[in-house]
Amino acid sequence: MSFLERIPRRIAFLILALIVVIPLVRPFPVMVPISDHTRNYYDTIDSLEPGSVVLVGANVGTRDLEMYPQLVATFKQLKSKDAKIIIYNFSPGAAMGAIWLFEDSGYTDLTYGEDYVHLGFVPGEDSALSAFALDMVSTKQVDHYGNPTASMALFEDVNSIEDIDLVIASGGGTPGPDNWARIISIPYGTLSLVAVPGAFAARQYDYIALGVWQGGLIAQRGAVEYESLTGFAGRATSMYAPLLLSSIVLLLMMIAGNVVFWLNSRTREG
Amino acid sequence: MSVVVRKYIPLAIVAVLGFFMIFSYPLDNAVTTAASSSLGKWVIILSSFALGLGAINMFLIHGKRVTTRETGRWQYSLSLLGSLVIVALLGFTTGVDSDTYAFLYDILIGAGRLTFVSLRGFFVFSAFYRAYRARTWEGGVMLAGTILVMMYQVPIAELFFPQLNVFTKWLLDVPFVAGNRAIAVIGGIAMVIMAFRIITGIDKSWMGGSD
Repeated sequence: MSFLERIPRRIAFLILALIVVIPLVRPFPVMVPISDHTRNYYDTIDSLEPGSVVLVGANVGTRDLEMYPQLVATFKQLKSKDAKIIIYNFSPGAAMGAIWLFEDSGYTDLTYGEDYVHLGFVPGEDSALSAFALDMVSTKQVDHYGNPTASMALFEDVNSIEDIDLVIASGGGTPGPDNWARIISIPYGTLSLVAVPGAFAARQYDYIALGVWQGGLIAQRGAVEYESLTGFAGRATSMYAPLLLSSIVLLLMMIAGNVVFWLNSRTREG
Repeated sequence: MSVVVRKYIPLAIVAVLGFFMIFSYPLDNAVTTAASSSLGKWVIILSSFALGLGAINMFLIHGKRVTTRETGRWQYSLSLLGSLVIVALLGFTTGVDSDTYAFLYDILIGAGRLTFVSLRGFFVFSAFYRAYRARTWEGGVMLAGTILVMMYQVPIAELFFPQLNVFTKWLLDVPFVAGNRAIAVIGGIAMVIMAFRIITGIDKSWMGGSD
């Protein structure tokens, strides 16, 4: 019994490794019920008029299994709605991720500067975002590639946050969605959505409840739900089984560990 | 340097600009909006300089470690500076959107980050099983909450125990949001107090001194 209470770390690691590997070797489909916040996210984008301008705060620096598939599917749905995208990055690494997002969602088939713009990294966090909201072109005079924003077709009718139809804040940590909520969504009342990794989800539930975000994609599960709604099944869906299995086993082991601990405590007391 | 230049002028700049930014928000007219927007652009320029300053600082700190052969650390500093120089040179010469630069970023930073996150999963798994124990009744409540929220997120509860899920959703929507909001409000009040202390010159720690 005491052995079960404290299984050696190596064995715990081995158990997890096996659980992760099995569904990779023999994949199986997983059905996930759709959360309200995911459905609202989908419906908000679905309600956009063709030609709507969407400002995306994309802070994705790696092709992970949470935010990256969330945004790829988002961009695909936006493309299906003929929406125009402006990407704004809080970090230099995210500027690289933005290029991948445009490529993987098919936006690169459209006209750059007219249908989509990659502004790249903008230093200055809250103050810079605040200035950008008031005057986009003069605050960010060149895009990620060094092209002048003033000469871009997309910015002919768009120069302040009032001209933006939808804001999508994505990322974990600071700066991230909290900054977008504080500087853009709350003071201007802009229609806004959020896409975050699981580790940074806690605060966003509050913003969703407050209506700051009309909807949200939370963690890999959010990406799976959204891929299911949009029909753009990607890596989040195909790689969800290992996460699901490991979470179930972790849950069972946590309960078992406490039951054994409780039984051993009673034995020791007796 | 006189005390006026060193102390009073920076304090005066902070006070004037700080109060201006506060009052420009409710005033909301063309002049104050344009001025606050310009100040925001200054921040972008200053932040860009800060990035360069950070790189110089890295060279000063890690360069010293390398030149003095600081035991057990100089190798890491050398690899850090080497990486910094290579990535910067590549960015300047081939462009930040070139395939070579993207490849380097992807295989180094991208793969490194994902590896780190994946390894963390193993430690969390081990720690949850081996150390997460309900030793007290408060710990028991926390453990019960964890189990319920995990069952909701996984989502075992939605599939097998729908009634339990209603309770978990209430936990997330009411007590969790209330607690989170209380922390946010307290944090907000603390930020206002901190800003007031800095603008009025009560807190001068940002100048490198003490209160």
